[in-house]
Amino acid sequence: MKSKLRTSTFFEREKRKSFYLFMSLWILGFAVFQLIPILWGFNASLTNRMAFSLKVKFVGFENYLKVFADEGVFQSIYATFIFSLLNTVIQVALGFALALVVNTRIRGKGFFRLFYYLPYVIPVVATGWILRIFFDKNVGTLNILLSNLGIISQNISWLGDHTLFTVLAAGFWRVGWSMLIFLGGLATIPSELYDAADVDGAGPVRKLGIITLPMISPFIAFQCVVSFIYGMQEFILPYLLNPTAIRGGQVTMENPPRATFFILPKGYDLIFNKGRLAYGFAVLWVTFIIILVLSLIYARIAKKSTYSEMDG
Amino acid sequence: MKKILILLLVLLAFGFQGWAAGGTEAPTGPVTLRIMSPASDFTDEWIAAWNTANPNIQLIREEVNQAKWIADHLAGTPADIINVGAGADIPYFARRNLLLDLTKYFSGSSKIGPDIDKEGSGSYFFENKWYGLPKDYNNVTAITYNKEMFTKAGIPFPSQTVPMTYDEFYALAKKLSQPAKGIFGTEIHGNWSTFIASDMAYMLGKTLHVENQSKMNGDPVVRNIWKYFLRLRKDNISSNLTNTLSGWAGSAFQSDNIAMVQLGYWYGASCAAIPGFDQKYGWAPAPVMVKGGTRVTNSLGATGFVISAKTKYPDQAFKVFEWYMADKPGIERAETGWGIPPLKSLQSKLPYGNAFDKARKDIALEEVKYMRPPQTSWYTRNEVYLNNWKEAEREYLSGKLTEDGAIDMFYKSMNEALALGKQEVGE
Amino acid sequence: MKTTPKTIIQSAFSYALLIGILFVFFLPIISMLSVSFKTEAEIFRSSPSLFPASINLDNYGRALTRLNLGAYLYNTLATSIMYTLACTFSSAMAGYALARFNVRENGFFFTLVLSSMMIPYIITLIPFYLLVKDLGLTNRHVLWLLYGLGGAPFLIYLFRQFFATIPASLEESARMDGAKPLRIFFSIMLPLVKSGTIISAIFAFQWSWQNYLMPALFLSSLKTTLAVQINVAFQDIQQNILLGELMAGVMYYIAIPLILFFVFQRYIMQGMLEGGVKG
Repeated sequence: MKSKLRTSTFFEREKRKSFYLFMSLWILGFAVFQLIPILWGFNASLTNRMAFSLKVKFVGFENYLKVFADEGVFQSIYATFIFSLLNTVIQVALGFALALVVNTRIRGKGFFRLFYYLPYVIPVVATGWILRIFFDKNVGTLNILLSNLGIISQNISWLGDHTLFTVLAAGFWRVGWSMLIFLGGLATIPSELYDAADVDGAGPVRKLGIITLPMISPFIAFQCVVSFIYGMQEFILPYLLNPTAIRGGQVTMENPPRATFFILPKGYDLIFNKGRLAYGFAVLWVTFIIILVLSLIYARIAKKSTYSEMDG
Repeated sequence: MKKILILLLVLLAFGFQGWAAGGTEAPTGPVTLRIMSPASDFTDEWIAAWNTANPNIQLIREEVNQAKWIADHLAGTPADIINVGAGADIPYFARRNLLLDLTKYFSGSSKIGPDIDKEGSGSYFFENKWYGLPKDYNNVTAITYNKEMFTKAGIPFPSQTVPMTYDEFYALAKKLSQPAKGIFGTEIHGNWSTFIASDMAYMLGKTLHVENQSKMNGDPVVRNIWKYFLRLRKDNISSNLTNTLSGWAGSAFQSDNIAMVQLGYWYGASCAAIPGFDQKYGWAPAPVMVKGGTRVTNSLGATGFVISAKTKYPDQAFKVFEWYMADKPGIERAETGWGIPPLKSLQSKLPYGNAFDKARKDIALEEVKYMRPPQTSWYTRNEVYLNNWKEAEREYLSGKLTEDGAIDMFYKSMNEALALGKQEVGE
Repeated sequence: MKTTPKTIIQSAFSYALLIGILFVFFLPIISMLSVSFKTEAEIFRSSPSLFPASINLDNYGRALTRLNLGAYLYNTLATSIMYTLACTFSSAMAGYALARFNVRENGFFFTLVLSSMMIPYIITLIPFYLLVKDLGLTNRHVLWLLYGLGGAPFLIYLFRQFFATIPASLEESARMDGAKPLRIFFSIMLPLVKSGTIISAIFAFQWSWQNYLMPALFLSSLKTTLAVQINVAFQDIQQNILLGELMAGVMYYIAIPLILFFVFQRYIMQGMLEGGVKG
């Protein structure tokens, strides 16, 4: 009894040693590239530091109090939130629908799968440029196509009047990734379940309801969280799809319209355009906490309400 | 797998070696100077030419990047030579001790000292110190117009010598607009509304700010100046969210989508690449507020170069600066006519071969006499005016705010920025 | 499959749907190609046509020189390959730790890895820059190697799932033989997750290929990557944006990730379909 206990603690210790051995690179990287920087940011957010301040003093949580009274920040968080939600719906609903469509037993599905996924491979800066020209009011292919087909008589200002739509369209274009995740999910469903349902005479809609959806729910939950987090972190596309912000041949970091002035561009504007370092850090810290809390609450709900064979 | 691992280790070792070797810079060897500038203002060819001719001073260029500049400043190692988009920002930087005082260097240099065009380069001279020079300067409010569009509309060409008023300009632009066809009367480029507003205020004897630049001027006359820019967009005379431009004002003008642009002398060099430009385009001086009244123009303070106060190699940096302004790059720029050189001796090199080039140079040299420094406050950056203005303008154009509501919104965010700027310099 | 009229109609419908969706996905790509073949005058004509008048490759030639493709391709490849190797390696290690060593802190670290995805990265730009500066790593491609060694949360997650599917017995027997953990990892476990490694490497490569902020902050104009260069290269002396050449340049920029994707697509599809990602 005694010796067994000792060997188990010995193994436990060895295990822990190995665990940290393998985690060490990540821990080091996390500490150096993320933890220290965000703590530095937190520290700076407690001062009145501006970009080129001559004197800096400690002000405690003053900046945080200001954040809660700042209408602009609230608007940006709201815009980000709306975008993330809509984007999550696109990623989950359309991603799942596409996965179902290419998962049917027809010839050539591999081909379609491949090409639906393809836009996701295009780097995001290139996506921005391609779509900027695609959606341009005067020279854009979409308006040319629509007017050739006689659907519109006057060119539509996609970038100016429907900015949020264009950024969401970019999300839609890159839905292949989500499709792939759901395909992976569909592949985990044992075909015996469907065979059994066939025997019971269940139609395709019923099979979707009683087998596919419950079995795939962990994947839906996963995709919801990940899409939400990525949506909250959207940064570069609003600049590339900003209708007014090309000067010379370049995209400038000019603030996008309200509907796509997300919280990261807002943070960028505060810190780098307006030079409000401390305040910008406070805003981003608040954002971080919001994302974290929402994700954790969400993960908890998802864990309770989905079918899952959760591992470790 | 093993191969990958070995490859990785080799790469690691290689990388660390490179890191260790380059980590320390020998103080006696060649120095490396960093230039923060877009390639169009400091070309890679010039850099290559300098680097071969001067092995002891090597240049590397970095793109202009606001984030990088601020981070560099905090690290205590900003780029040595920096491109300033608008000289109107010079007081802002000077008040924050970011710029090297070049007064002594200028007076010690025979190529620069006696040759400076003080009227055109004035923005770089702040509180009796020289902080840099424009790469070239321009009367940015002078008008380039499309003759064909005037002829088609049956409107006589504007005078080349007598300025029209802004009211006349507005009415003319309105007549020339055809929003349904994507044709605009005029377009306000970038943040030039700030600078045009500044000129307008001068002409009316007003200031954009009160209380020593620390607050926006609530005088109804000044508020009315700002409203002018709102109306241009609302009335579809300039682009707005529904009627957008593809590209910037200059390219839209050259593709016949804008009838008149206020861009100034340098824009002529851009037009000169269009076939038949000297027949197609004409010039008119910057408008005034009162017929026959005071004329005022500006150069945004002009795009130019400064040297960082924290540079470790001020002498070497000035050598590069001097070469850029007075030698090969300066001469080359003058010959292409992209702007009026800050050195008087180079101004004779400006193109003057055809009616088009003659008109733009004559107007420019006439308007230099009326040039005043932009009224932007040293408490905040030009970029802040632009972004705050755009936000208010968009709210107005989307129908959420009245004209006065938009000005209130703009003033509120500006006053906040100015107050913060006061804190920043410790006042 | 039986060929009854019903199944024929069904499959015809399916194909129509599949091709319809494909068309929607390809519209922007068609747009890009079409614009890249047009002359600037054709693009900016007052009533532009959908397709170019002729297949005109001039833009591709000019984009090549304007972009200075060779030099920037080298920069982009150098940073991306270094990042890919380091990041895949480090993520595999962390994923292995999280999958196979069921110590008490495991759950905490797993949550920490996932939470690190949520940090709004704009907050880290300045402090990260100061740090890199202190290390003397600005304007050096090797930074990507060091940065990669921190791993990436999603890849760690992926590796964790792949390692979790391997039966414990393999490891146990090796341990009984007295093999050290690192040896077990490299000679037994890593070879078993080949498709996971390839998928991770492709993702890592893709991320670093499209990363804009890091090269914009840390590299000078001659050492920067295509993600930055594509945004500044395409203006002419008139400071007009050259849409045709830009689209041709974009083609060059996306070519490498696309080629890689086609070469390795079998692994990606298979690996992901094996159920690599699980909720």
